[in-house]
Amino acid sequence: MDLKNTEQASMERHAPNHSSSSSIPATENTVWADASPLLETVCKELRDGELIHGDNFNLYAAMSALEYASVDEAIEDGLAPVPISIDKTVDVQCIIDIVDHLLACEATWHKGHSLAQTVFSCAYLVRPERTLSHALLDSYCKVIRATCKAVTTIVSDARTHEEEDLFTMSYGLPLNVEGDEKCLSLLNAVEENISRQLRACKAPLSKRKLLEDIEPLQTNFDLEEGYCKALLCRLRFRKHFCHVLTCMRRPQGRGLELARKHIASCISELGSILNSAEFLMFNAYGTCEDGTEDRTTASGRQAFGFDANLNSRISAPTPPRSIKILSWKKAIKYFENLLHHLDIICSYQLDPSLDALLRFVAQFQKAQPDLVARVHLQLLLVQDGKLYGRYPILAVIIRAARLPEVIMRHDIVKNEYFVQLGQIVINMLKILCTNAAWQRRKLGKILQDWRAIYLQLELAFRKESGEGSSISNGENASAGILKHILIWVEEQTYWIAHRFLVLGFELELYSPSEYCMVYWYLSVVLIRLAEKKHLKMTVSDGSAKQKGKKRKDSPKDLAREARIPPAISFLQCQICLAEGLALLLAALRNELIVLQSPSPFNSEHERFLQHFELLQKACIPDLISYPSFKESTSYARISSVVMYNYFKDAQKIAKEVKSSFLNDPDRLAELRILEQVAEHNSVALNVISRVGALDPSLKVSFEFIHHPYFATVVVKRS
Amino acid sequence: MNLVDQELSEPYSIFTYRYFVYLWPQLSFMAFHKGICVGTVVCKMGDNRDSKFRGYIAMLVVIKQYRGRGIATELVTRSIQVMMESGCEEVYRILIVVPSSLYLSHCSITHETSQFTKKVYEMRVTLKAEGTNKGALALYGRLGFIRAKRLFRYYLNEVDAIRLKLAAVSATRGASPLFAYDG
Repeated sequence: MDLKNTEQASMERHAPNHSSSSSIPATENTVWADASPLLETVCKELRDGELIHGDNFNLYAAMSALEYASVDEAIEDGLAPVPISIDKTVDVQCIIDIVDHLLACEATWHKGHSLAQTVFSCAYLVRPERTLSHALLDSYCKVIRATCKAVTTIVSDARTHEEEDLFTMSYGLPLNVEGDEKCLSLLNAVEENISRQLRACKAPLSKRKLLEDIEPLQTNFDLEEGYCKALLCRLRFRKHFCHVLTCMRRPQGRGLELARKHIASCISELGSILNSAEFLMFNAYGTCEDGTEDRTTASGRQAFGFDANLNSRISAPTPPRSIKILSWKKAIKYFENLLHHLDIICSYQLDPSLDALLRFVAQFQKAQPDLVARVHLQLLLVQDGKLYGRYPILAVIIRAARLPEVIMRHDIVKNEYFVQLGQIVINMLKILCTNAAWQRRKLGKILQDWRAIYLQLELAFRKESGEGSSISNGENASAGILKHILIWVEEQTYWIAHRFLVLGFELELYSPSEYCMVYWYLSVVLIRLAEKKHLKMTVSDGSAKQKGKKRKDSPKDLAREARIPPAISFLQCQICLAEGLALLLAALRNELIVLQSPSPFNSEHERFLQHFELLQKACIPDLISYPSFKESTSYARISSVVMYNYFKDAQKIAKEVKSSFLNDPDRLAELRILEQVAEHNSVALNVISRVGALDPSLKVSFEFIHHPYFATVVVKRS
Repeated sequence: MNLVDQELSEPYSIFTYRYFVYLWPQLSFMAFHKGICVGTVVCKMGDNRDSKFRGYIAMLVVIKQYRGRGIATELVTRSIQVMMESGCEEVYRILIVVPSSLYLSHCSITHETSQFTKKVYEMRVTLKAEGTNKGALALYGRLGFIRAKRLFRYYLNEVDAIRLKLAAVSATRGASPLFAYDG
């Protein structure tokens, strides 16, 4: 339908009365005309399914043209009066509700909704000048704005929130209000005043006359203590939380110890906040929200002064849709979790060992911390291109490669490829702090970078040690350094590949029919990782021995050298589990327990190539392909898997090596779980073997009930 | 439309149906039994930003009483065949994943995608705990789809999605393994 003709016709029929003014006054850039008559005509004339077309008329423009009530109008309508009520008791109750609702809004913002529709849906925050006459409201709003600004800054600085939910765009929201920098001193003054009011109301009658000059918080004496306490814990939580953010941002981790104290205070105050709920609900004025579980305040009342449409004109790029604010209880839970994760970060000893750091980060990520905690970790790890802002990244690499510190003075480390190596290590550390889904994708991609740097270093090594030399021959110091670094780069590459593969289990990216090929690939990667790690230890021990005193080795020394290092045994345990699972799955498939109907569109080969494309491109490992997989698994049978019982081997290794990790609770716990999985799987294998692979009553499944990526074999008989 | 409206608690707008069905009629299939439509699949295809010609399965619905009979598999298979014959190198489907911490009670999903953001802007909640997804995942798995990537909080309310990908045979074989990986 042609808009112009209809519009013209309508305007002729419904010519505006020039003597009456438009209901919306014209401004410098806008002129308004009432389109109601036009729309009425269009509605009558449009047939079902017909659409309006017109120049400069599209869905986005139409949606953006909708005008909501302005902030000024909202305030004039009484959205944000100051004080909220002349009755001081009601005023205090309302302020507590506002504080609680703001907490819920803040948690909702952290979880992925816009600042404009959550925290800044509070009219008191948006118009700072309105709260100047109310010390409590004003100081609290200032602290909220300062906290939001701090979180926005730190998330923006980390720059790894791509595809995360926390929107850092503020689109003209008042995050930088003059005077907000004094928020804590103002809050302290208010806190001090309320503390005096609390002391006054608790004072015995004899002393109360002396304190008569202290104006009470509100008018009902019986409720004074309850309201003072309810307010104090909220103010104190906010103050300590602000301090946590400030302390954790101090360079080189200098503020972590103090941050822990503030975290402990925050957690304590959250407990007090939760406990205040009963008092606040009992004394609530007015009606409470239906559905206590969804309430956004402790009292159950709807908070005063909030409107999600307040900032609609500056909410970009699309008009806002309604969102659900987290419940008050869920918000408290969110902050408890956040503080717990921040505490873990603060209690980390800033170990310069890269191995220890990688284990810490992997362990930390198991708890699935939210973005705010993860960016704090990332910004702690990498500051000014140094680890924790303290250790040059090259020094960290040299230490990780088991080279002496003096190597830092060698000319070779000034080469461009060492600088690049430092960059990719920093990049890897940042990636390891992101959410699991994004992390896996990025780890897959950086495998190419690690492969490229390896090739560069290998070329340099060949050049240093002469053409045609193998890696094992290194005569001069530069060649020796490069040899160590090469081994370490390979080990690190396999570590990344291992993490890439196991994250696939945690993200449920493998279907059960693909477990066989994944475990097989994982076992190959783990074998190479163990080889490289062992080689690194051997080469560095060998170098150290050459430099040490020349004496005849005692049998004890020889025996010590022959023992497999615990870190390698740990990997061997995992290798046995992976191999056992791969072969068991292959055997079950080969013996037709798991019927495989081929896909009409592609084959197992294609799916293999798709899953492991990034690893194959980076030659991780070399010469591994689908035919290798088929060769390893095509002839697997239950009887052969029983004969070479990898699960029993895994169990044995786990038992033997546990004593070496008594001072490492995380790895000890992991070993116990691996042992448990190995034991279960060994028993399951025996049951399958005894009952008979083709018994129709046998049902075999692979569940991740003990370990996140080593499945436990569950056997049921119907 | 009625079928989709009936099986999903919140219907798509007519513009959504038009977008798919008007532009790619050859990719929509319906299954009938005794004159009643019992299942349908709605798809699209086109060039993507990395110049790959891709198919996308938008909606797949089968009436509850007719499930478990291979109707959905047949609908999807037919649409993929047409896509492959038209030159599609890959086919995609996005499925939501319910985390185990969320036990929501009812049955279906709808969502609204903003053209301006990568993510689904809003999700009307209601999902059957995992059962629906396991069945759907198994269906696509049998057809050769792999789980290409997990989309973290694709839906707000902490619900992730998994992007399923089926690469055409001609795209995965050849001199070098240079086929698409949607990282």
